[in-house]
Amino acid sequence: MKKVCYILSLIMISTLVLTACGAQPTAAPTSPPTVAPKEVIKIGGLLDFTGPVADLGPKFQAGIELALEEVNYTVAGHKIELLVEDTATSVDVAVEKFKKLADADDVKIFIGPLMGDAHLAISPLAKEKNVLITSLINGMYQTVPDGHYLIYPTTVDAQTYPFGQYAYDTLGYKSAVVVAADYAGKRGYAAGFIEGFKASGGTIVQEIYTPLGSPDYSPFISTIKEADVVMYALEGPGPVARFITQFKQTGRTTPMITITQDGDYTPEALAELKDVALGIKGESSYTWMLDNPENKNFVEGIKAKTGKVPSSSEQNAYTLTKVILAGLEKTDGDVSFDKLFPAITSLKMNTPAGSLSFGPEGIAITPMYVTEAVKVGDVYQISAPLFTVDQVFDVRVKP
Amino acid sequence: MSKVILQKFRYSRLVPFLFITLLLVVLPVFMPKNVQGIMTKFLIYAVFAISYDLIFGYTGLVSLGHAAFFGAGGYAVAVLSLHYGTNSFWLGGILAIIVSTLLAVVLGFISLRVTGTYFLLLTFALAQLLYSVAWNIPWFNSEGMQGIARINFPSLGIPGEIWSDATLYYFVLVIAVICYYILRRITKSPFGHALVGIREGEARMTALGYNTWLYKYMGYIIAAPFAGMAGALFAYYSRFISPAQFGLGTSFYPMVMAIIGGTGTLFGPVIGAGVVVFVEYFASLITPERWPLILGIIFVLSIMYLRSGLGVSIYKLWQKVSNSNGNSKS
Amino acid sequence: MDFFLSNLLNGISYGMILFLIAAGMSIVLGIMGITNLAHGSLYMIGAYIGWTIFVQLGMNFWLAVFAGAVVSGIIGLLIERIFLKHLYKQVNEQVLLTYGLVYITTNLVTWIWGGRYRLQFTAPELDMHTVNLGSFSFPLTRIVITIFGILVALILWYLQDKTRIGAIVRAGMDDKEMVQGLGINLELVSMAVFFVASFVAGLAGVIGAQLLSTYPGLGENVLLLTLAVIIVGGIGSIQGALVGGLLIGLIDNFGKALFPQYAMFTIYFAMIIVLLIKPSGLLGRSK
Repeated sequence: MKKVCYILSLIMISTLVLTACGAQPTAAPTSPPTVAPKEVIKIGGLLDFTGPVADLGPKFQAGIELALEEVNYTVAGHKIELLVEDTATSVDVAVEKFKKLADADDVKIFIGPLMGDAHLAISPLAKEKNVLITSLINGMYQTVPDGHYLIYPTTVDAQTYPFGQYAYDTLGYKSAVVVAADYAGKRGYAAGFIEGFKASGGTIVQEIYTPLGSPDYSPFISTIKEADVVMYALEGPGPVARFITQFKQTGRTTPMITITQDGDYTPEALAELKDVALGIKGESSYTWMLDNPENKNFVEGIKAKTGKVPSSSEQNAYTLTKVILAGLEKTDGDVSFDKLFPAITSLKMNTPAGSLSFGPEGIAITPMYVTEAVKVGDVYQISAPLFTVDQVFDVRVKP
Repeated sequence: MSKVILQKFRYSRLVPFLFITLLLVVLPVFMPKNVQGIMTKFLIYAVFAISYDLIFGYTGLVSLGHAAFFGAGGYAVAVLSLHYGTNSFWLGGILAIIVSTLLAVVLGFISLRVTGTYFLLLTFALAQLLYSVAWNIPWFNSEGMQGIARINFPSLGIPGEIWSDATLYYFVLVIAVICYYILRRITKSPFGHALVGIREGEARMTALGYNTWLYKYMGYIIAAPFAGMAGALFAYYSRFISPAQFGLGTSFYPMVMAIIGGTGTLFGPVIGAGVVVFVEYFASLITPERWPLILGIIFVLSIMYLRSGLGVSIYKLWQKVSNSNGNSKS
Repeated sequence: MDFFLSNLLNGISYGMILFLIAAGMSIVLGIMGITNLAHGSLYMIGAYIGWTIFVQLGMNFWLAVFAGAVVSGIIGLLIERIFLKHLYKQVNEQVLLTYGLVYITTNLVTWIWGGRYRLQFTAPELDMHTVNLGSFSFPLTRIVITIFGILVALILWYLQDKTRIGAIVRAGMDDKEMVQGLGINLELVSMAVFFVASFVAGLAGVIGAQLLSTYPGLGENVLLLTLAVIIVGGIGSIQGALVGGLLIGLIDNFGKALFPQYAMFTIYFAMIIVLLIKPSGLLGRSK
């Protein structure tokens, strides 16, 4: 009879534990680095489907999928499997999901996540596990020493440096107030803008850093001093809309400029913002109005897939996937980091956003554009470039 | 005759304990890395939960700020890593214990001035205050981000030691067993019984001459270092600590685990920790987007139908079977 | 002067939203002794219903306000009938159950409406309209919020202090058996109170959406603010929720404007100080 009791508890606990085993792939804890012929290549997507930047997750996914569909989910004879996890705009969740994909699913190639601070947390782990990982929009310079990141379109500060100069030289603003969301990514963008603006001769009157997810910007707006222009860098379409609306509601007429405009002003956000968004110029790494063959093809593809025109989110994910595929072609399907990383960084290609090449440390060299929100007929959209810088370099690594 | 029954009784109680320990020691060897990680997480939260059970289940103090000690332990390890470049467990573990205990001395003194719902709210507010301290003070953050990254596996100062997820698991297991044993001795001591007495009827205890406030305060302080140790282990496991470890969600975990498993039993919260951690894991595999829904439904159902907790129900079932078994034999 | 005035008015209007949210939870906690952590989620549901009616279906804004309030009221009532009525006086269980409901509602809302943050929305007649007050403008939406807050406060206060129902409810809080002994159906009264509390939460959701918009995490964020309000203002009275809401709103606004990095601190600091000096809150009933 006692045996029955023991068996009972054994059953109860073992079912829990055995299903854990059963639910796992039968991958050995250490697998050989090279992929055997015909073995599936896994690409992990760390994207945000919940949280303040939840709008962007599906867009990134659409970009990745379009690139994979174009090659029929095959490269160098291997089938490709895309595993997507929701990182919920949280660094904790991003780290957990990264570990899960790397350990349980044996993924060696990662795209994302979006948030800069998540990169800072994941970077040492990526180095330890010797996997390849890319940024999506916010590229952090601090990950370069770990050497496992592809930083696209470039580091956050490098991206906005030329825009800072443009604001002074071309737009004629001599003084600026900077309002940025208080986390790594946007602080970096703000820093780049400030550097560029000051380098050209401008003065920064004030810097305000707002907490993530602020429901109400009015207290901060009430402290904004007089200046020629207000430059804002906030975490996503929602906060951007809130800020612009609340600023205009106070009756102030100071012009505004922004960064990552194309990423923040998604078609959905523009449709809800309407006239409030008009007349604001911003730095963008891409705009769907770019006139090159890759972009024409890309815009058609995204329109067919999602019914909307693409923004930087779809483009960045698409181009990064294409870059990975090109790298895998070069290594003939070898996913090991030591072969794949140099293969990718030696690439030169044309993308929907313009020309693309890499520095040996993994930072991409891409163009920067200045765009504007315009109204064409009844539709609010992002304009064609008003200004172009063909290649943006991060001065910290340029020889 | 009575000696025989006594022996049988003791025997039947020891075996499941040995069996479970065996399971925890042997099984992970055959499991993939990721599940080892989940089991490590389970052990860490089990320690956190039994620490909470001391004040919640045994003493009856409903605190919504136990994360204060968990976070303090985690940040102790993290700060040592960030600013002093050391991952020595001897330094980290001891610092975690010291910091969380000192914190409890201060927070307990403040919180125990009130009771009931106000105690709940005050403990919540104090933990939130620590959350904002961790968020805002640059010294508590790695460059350019919220929280501290680049925390390495612990080191014991043994030449030639190599750490991996597997070694970390066994390390955590040893610590968890030690913590459980110590807390068990505490709950079985006269002090532990006094705490239960306070939960059942504080007025009566006062009438009997006990300084109930002092006992509650001592209980609160004794529970803290265990939570701090859990936090330190969490930092080594997660390799990263963030202000969220002081947050409301973290404070809820041990309460949920204790209630699901059975409060005031010490093994109940362990089972509760297992349920929550494993269900979270499985549910997120099966349905990556809907799993919080499943977790929420389990909370709700367990309150409505499993009042005394899953652990206690299993225990009662066990008792019934082994008692009838003992009777039939004699 | 501008700085002071704009922050004062902004703080008051924001505080009014906080009051509207907290009023329901405070009454339910103080009078029925129920800790309902899902109250913030009722606010969020109201906001989403309002969004659907107004933004998605393009119907009248005020209809959306009413719809949000009614739906939240009904859901609140269901929660009380199905779950909370069995947990009389069991604080632990109430806390855990309602927190489980928060998980569930957050996820359901993401399932139905998606994870995207909605933009603020308001009636077309109010959109971007401002009132000139000297050298700065004050948005009409905030004035509407403040007026709503005052109206609701007056109505609830009247109900609480000046009507027979209010007296019954307050008596029931103190001595359940006595009230029942007088032949009053206390269960019906409890249901009514809970419905009204949830109704106000839903109303607050749509009115507040003009400022705070809506998103899945709103239920939890609002919960934290609500707890701050009832701690500071005191549990169980409309006046307490009003004072608490206004104070927190002003502290938050001035705090952010004067010490932007420490905005989070100021609220929790205030909470702790109040709890230590007068644990039952500034206007709470001392035990």
